[in-house]
Amino acid sequence: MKRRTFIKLSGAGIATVAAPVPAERPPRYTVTTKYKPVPGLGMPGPYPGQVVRVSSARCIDEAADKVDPKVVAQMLDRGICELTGDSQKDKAWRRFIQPSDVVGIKVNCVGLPKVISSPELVGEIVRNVVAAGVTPDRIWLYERFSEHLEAGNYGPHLPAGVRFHGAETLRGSNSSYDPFTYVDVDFFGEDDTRSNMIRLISEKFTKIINVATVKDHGAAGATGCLKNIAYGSFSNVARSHAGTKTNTLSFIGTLASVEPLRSRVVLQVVDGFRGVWHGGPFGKIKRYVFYPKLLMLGTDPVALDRQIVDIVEEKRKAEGVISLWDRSPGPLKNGKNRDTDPNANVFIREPGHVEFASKAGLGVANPKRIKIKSIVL
Amino acid sequence: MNIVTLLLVAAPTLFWDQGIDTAAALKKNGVSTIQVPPAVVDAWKRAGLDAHPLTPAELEARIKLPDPGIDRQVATLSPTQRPFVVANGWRFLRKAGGQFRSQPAAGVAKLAVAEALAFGSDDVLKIDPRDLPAAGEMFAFFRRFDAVTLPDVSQVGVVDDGTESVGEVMELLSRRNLLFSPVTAPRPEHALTIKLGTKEYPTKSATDPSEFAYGIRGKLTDDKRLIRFFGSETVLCRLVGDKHRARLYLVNYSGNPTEGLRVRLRGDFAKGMAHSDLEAVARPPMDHTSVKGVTEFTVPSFNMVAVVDLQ
Repeated sequence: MKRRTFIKLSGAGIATVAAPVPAERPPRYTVTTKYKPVPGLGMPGPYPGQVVRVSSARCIDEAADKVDPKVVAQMLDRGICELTGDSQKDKAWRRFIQPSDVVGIKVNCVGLPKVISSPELVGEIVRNVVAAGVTPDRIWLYERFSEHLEAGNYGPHLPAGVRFHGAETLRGSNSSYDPFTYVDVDFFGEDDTRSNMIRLISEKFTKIINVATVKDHGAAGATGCLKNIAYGSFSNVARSHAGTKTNTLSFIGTLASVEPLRSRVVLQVVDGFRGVWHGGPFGKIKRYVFYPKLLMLGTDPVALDRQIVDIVEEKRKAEGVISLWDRSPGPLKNGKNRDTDPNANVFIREPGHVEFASKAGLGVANPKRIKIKSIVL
Repeated sequence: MNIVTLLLVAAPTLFWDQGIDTAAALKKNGVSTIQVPPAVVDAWKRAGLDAHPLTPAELEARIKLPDPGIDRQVATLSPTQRPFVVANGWRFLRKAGGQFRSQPAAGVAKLAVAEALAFGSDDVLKIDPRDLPAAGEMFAFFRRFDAVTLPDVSQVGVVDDGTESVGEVMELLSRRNLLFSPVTAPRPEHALTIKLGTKEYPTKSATDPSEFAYGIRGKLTDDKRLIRFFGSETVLCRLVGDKHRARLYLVNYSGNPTEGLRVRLRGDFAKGMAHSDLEAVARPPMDHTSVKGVTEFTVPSFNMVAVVDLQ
């Protein structure tokens, strides 16, 4: 099949979405959805190109690897108010969440055991959603794999009644995905060419809060808001990685653009208390964990991920290892040593997926056009 | 009686060389028909079994089948991400009316019985006696619905010259659920007919049968494929039917249950009923749609086999 820039929609009553214009020709994606974009909230939302960075040296005790929930609460309160310009946090939260909402909170647990969406932060977010009038039984933490969600141990940090949803209790199970909302693409000749959206997203949630982490990613370059919400909300996505060349460049932005996901993700919260500078998205090697000690907020996942790429890149530079942007063959030949050698690559990293997402209309990637509000507590 | 009908009336049976004292176990597990050494036929009949004689030579003369399942290619340096499915459906189709024999390793009997029943093949299985309950469950599952005498449905014809190359092509077509029939000449119902050694399909083009099958998929186009599955790369099928109804046999080779398998089938089928080996009663498939000549539905869950009747 000749590969070319192509996105089309199929099915009855389906709206057209703008086709991303990537730097290199992406595979042929066909998006099927009955949902139409909702103006206003969503991605990039009311604050395109805006990033709020709240730093605090006290947010985590590195020696004990323990997050301080009180400091986290202060950071979140200050960050949300700075984002919206409100003096009261309740008013700020109500710009995104109404009492009638059913709220999905997308956590990231693949970095177990060391770097996941911190339960302390997720707990504080949930308390603010409850304060906005949403009852706990209308709040869902979700992740693709049940075992990851369970291992995240969020329960003790949450009000009673909050629900959990792992889309795949059995790996590969397709039953929690929406058969009518999907992206169809043939990457490497695989027969199963559909990636379906988690059904709760399309049929239940009215709002989604994305709680991303700061991590290197062997295929995507870095993984923050975009990849967490994209690969974390659809089935059958690992197929984009095969050999050393992946399709993360275009697949991440394409998935994140699919309605209703795009319109329902109203707030991006980046947990940068900890981070992973190599070996990501996994967080199993202590050597590669670092502590940016910051929280970022916004509605524009592209602008936020642009920061994450830079944070991970700067850390790698400080460690004296190859850049995220390195596409040379040498590190790839050494891929099997990735866990022990930070100059080894398992795939060609594609941090350019952030710019691709920008061209898909998900936000602002150009650093010169990103407005950063920095706060130090 | 044509070849198709021969296939459908045939059924797999167990070759049982255990002692007569196992008669109760057979009955308990719902196995009433067995093949046994000629010398003990009468004894088995007296024990209440429908016993048929089969000599060692007759058994040996049958076509030996490999164990079905997943070959994870652990000895291969760069294994494919897609597991290699070892399945015998293509062999049953290639040798319609053929006589087969299997000696599945312990733990494999149930799957071997499942695919033999799905294809209505004359397969004599010599199973590990410890697998009798599992095999009995599979025989019992297939007794839950009526047998049908519908022809196999395919969209690719393969001219079979008997060579290993053609066999590999059939196997890889089957692996991708590109439904084929062996033919001697093109048939109008087929979108294309493969004849190796021709200008369109040079013999060397099948050197990599997986790539060859992928090329056939491209020629058909995914949109026009007779059947497609989403949610599994390890479920293979057999489709039989006519203008009014169809039956879809789904065999899952992965060893793990399949949940939420989405089926896309060309044709307008307004309703269906799914029998699953994980559920005691049949029920309609989920999220059933039939629009512009394409039917889609979801089979909620099954372990090794599901059968879907469509009207």
